[in-house]
Amino acid sequence: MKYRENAKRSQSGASLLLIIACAFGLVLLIYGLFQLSMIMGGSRQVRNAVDAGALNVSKKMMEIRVTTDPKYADVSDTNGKVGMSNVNRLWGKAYLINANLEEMQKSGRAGPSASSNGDTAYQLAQNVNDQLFNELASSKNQDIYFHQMAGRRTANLINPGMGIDRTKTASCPIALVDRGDESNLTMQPTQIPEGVEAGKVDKGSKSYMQGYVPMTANNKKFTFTSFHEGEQPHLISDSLFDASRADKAPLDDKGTTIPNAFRQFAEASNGQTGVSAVASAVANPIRTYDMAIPQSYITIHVTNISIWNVDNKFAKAIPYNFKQQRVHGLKDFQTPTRVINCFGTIGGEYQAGSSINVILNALKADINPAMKKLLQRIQCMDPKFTKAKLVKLFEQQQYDPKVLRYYIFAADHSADHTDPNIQMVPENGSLPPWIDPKQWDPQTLDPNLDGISGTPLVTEPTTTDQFAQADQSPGGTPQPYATNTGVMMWKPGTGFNKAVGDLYVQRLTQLYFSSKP
Amino acid sequence: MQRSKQQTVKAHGRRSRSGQTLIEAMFGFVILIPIGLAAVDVVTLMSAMQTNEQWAETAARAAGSCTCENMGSTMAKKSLTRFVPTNIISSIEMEKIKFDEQAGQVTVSTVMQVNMPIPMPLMNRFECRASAIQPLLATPAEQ
Repeated sequence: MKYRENAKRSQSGASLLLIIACAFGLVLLIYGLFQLSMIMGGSRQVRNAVDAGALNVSKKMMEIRVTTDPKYADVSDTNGKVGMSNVNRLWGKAYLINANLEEMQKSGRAGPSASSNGDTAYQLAQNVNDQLFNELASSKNQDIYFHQMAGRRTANLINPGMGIDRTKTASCPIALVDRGDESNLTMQPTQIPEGVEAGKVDKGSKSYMQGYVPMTANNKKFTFTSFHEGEQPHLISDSLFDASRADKAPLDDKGTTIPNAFRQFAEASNGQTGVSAVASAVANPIRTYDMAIPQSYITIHVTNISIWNVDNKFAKAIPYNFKQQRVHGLKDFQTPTRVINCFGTIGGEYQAGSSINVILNALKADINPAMKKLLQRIQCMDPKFTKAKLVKLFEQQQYDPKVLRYYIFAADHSADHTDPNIQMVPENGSLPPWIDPKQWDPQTLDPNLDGISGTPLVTEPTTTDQFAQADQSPGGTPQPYATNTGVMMWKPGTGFNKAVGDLYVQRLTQLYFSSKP
Repeated sequence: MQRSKQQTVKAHGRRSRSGQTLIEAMFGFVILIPIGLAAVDVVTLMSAMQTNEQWAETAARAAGSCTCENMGSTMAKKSLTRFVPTNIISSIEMEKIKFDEQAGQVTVSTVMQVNMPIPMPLMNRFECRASAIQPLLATPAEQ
């Protein structure tokens, strides 16, 4: 009877136990699923926070700026600083100076100071670059920008109210992605001096300096930072980042090439469960610049000299104007045998007018080499300037005989020198404060020019009695005659001291008279 | 006669045991089923909240790629149109947007209507709110 009762109790207890076990199991399962869901949700929260933080870092890195050298003030921002967005501009100027120098060296027109100017231009740019690199690679700076975004988020599914911290790493991985693509520096192939090879990327109607492909000028390596045109900062895959990491695949020995991608690590933990995430983002300033030496200038000056000879011997030199004129050059000139009066009709080459364009074209020779040099150097100030605009500029400018020289420069009223307007102004005209016409020396010309003239760039074949005529009273034997010729001299400058060239047009009219009746 | 009496007692014992099991099972179901149903609702709500957070993130990212508040608002709303309503999540809308150009950040808040799969008294419909902050990426670097 007792046994029967025990058996009954155990049977009824078995059912209840089963129910309790099921209930317990179900609650456990629900709890487990809930925890899993919380971890997965928390993980997603951390991932989202890291993504946002990484994007913010890549965006805000543009705000890191360093003070530049005064030599590069014309390519700095409105506060005289250089950051990621305009560092290519700085390098662009340094590149043009060294490219000009290389061309000068190859053509034998480099002066004694040119080489050191090129070296200094490079070193100054490198110094600013290195300073900026250190700021960009700094863990401290990245921390600040990461926390601006990720610090305002929480991983509350893991630990309510708990923030997301950037993982403290010894080094902040940086990368040079989009190698071989465009930089944010537009260029014109014609602004690169002859004989210098620049890496460029054509996109639509624009050409850009190539990013992350070192190029050489004056035996120095120049590397521009890649920034895709019209692209916003965005996340990139870890594999893309890893393949271009600055520490694993550097572009130079020094390893200070300005990076364009940054990686962030972050973690959140509640003591038992920890979640970490990583995100890489590529930066973009969404701003392009023209490669230029904004504050640079060219000088143009012309001299017309008539040399009066009697019996092939020099008698007198008389400068003449930009118009045809009859000159009584030698009055009652005493020769060994008699007194003669010598006349000349000179300046016939300027019958078409006295604009700079007429003056240049008065040389009956191919002036294209000179125009090419001028255009290349003007495009150092404004890459969009064309030959047609140059001709128009020359046509509009009348040469004032009282003026010794004209300055061609880019007038720019924008704070960051990005709106050039090429002008031609006489020495006594309204010149910008960074041009000092008083430095000019008639013998050595502009001390800021670091090149030498060398052989004439253009030489006009000598013409006889075509643009000038000679006559004398009383007449002589042989008959008086006049020759006319001209040369164009080009004295280049690297642009380091702002002067990028001087074009000198020298016209020479020789008049020959005879003492023999 | 005695045999039939014994048989009757045995039969009664079997019936009372199975009845007791049934009662225990019923009692168990009364406990287990509400727990299970409540769990379904809780999991649904949790999942909906996480979905809402993700949509807020998507909307904020869309707004962050714009240059002005109007455009940002339009883009954020447009990004939410990709959401396909279901019986459980009936709608998701942008509640507000804070476009802070000074700080270079945009904050988007979304509100989601969630219908409980197992309607309970006074708890058949919930409104979930979430907000996300993203950097403004479309503004060019300073000159």
